[in-house]
Amino acid sequence: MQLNVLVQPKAGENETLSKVVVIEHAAATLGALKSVFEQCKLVGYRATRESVAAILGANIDLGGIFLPETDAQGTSCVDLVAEIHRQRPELPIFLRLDANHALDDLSSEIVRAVAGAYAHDDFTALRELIDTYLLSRDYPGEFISAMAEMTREAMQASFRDMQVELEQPYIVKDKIIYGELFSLIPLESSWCRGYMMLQTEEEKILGVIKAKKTQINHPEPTFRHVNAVLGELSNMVWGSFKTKYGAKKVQDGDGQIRVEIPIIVNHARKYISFGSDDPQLCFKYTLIDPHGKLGPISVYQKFIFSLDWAP
Amino acid sequence: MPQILVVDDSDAVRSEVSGFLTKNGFTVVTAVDGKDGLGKAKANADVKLIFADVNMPNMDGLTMVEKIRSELGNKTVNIIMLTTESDASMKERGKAAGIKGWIVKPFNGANVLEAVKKMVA
Repeated sequence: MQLNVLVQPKAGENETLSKVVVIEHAAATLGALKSVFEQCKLVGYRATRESVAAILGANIDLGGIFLPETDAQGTSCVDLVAEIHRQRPELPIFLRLDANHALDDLSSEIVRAVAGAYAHDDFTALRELIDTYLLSRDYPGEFISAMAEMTREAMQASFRDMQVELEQPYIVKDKIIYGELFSLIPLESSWCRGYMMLQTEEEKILGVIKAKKTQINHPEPTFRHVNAVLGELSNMVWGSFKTKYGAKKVQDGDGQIRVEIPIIVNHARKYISFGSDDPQLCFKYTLIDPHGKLGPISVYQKFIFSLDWAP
Repeated sequence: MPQILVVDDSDAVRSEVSGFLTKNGFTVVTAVDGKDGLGKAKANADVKLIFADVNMPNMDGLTMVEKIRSELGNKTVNIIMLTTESDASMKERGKAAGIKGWIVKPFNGANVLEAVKKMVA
């Protein structure tokens, strides 16, 4: 889909951008937004009431959306605010208020839906909202550079005779998964704890495997071989991270190594792997409405002690 | 005929290392984790060299090496760790258990082959 770019700020190699969607008709506001976006390193994609659904559908890694309270035709945009919030509840909505209006003038539903609202000419307030709801975490350039380098090396080792291109890193507020396959592994150091996810498309990785460009040498590779390639790629990046930033605790008090193994999920196939073939202990709970008004609800609980088990 | 045991929970790594070694004329056995590796090392007297990952489910690679040494008392099996880990204390632990080398992934085939040729006579 061809996007109408309002502004494409230049960013240094280790600086982040963020992609945002803008519905705006007022020329003066557009000019001011361009200036704010340049300062905040936001790539602005222009949308209209008619095109915004398609743009949101085609872009799952956005940082926010900017729209006015009333459009060029004098029609209220609050219905659009509510609809966008329903579709993408994680995406911060920044609402430009009409002159002499306040956020309290709007319904409680809209007040809850927006990240914040700013007076039509108060771009200092807008800048504060962006800092609070979109740019609230600073990722140091050194860290960005190191992670990109580690991952590039791991990818070049995992995918032979393939070029690895890297786009400008960017900040996302969306919580939408790309593709149908992802790996998840905890990352820990003395100064951070969290997770790394690698998300991709099964068929495309399978194609690379079939082209004999990975470690896999199997006559009829399947999605399980895709899992193996993604798992080992995740493992290599994790190892590099641990080498550079150090684990919080390498071994437990009794000398047991704190092993980490990536979790692999293929949600298209409803498949999850914790790295071992040990039998899982499972409980099925059923919630029943004694008044008969709600149908039974099943909740499955599974225990997978793939990392350590010595009762 | 001396055999090489490749112990790694990653299908991709087992496939690559065993494929590379087989192409260079070696007989290879694989294991999926430390527990499996220990079992195969015990069951197979022809295993003369083991490549072992560290981070594996069920039993990690260093624990497997220590158990091989204590349960088999077998110093004629050479062991090289092939892992993403670089931690100094882990390397010390491996050294104390008598490993012969520590290769950080991704590995260089030529270096691996050179190490193998020295250890599997």
